[in-house]
Amino acid sequence: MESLVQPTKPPRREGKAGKPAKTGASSANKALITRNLRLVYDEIAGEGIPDNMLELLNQLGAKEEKGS
Amino acid sequence: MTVPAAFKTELIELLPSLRAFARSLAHNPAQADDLVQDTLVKALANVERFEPGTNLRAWLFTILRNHYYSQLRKAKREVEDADGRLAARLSVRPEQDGSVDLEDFKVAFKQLQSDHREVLTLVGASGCSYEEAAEICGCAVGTIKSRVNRARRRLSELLGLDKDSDAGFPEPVALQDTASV
Repeated sequence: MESLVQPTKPPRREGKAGKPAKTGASSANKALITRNLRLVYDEIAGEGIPDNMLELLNQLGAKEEKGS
Repeated sequence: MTVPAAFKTELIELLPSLRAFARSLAHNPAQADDLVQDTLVKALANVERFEPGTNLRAWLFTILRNHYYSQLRKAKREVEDADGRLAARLSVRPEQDGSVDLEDFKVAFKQLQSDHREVLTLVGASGCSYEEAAEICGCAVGTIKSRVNRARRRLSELLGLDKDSDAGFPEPVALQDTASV
């Protein structure tokens, strides 16, 4: 199978007439689902990092490694 | 503990998607963040096992996923059961313009089985390739593809979306543009 680095655009199986594939949702529905998944994602990302996680990460000393 | 600076930076960058992934599995935001916290602790305890240059996201997601399912087995209860039943009482209706309310979307999403929720989040929101999702979920790429298809179809049903909405249906307008993740 071809490289699928663009997961938002899975291989289309629909015909040109816009007939939904047997196995999946229509492309409009796929787009809608992807948009909403990203909205949910953005909402969570927008919350910032909870304090307890930041604390944990701040305990980490970072050693500078040039070029890594 | 000392880790390479690049590792720490990447870890912080990956936290939002790790949290989103946890949220898709756990439903409950507090439980999800506990999962993330546990994952961080495990990851840091095993940081020497991570090979620099390999996929940190897949590594972290795999740790989180394994931890979630082992907890689930330990607890011997299906977390999604209670939530799913609760969610099933709420009806979801698509808007007239073909979009759906985000809260309705969340309700419908919760009704999906966990393997559907996780692939949708991995592939649809976090931008994982099918190959990466397969690595994280420990299954074949083909399995991920068909699971994503089934999950989308099921979610469309739950959202009450018209199967034939491709026929001249306008693009949803109520949603803001989130072209890039």
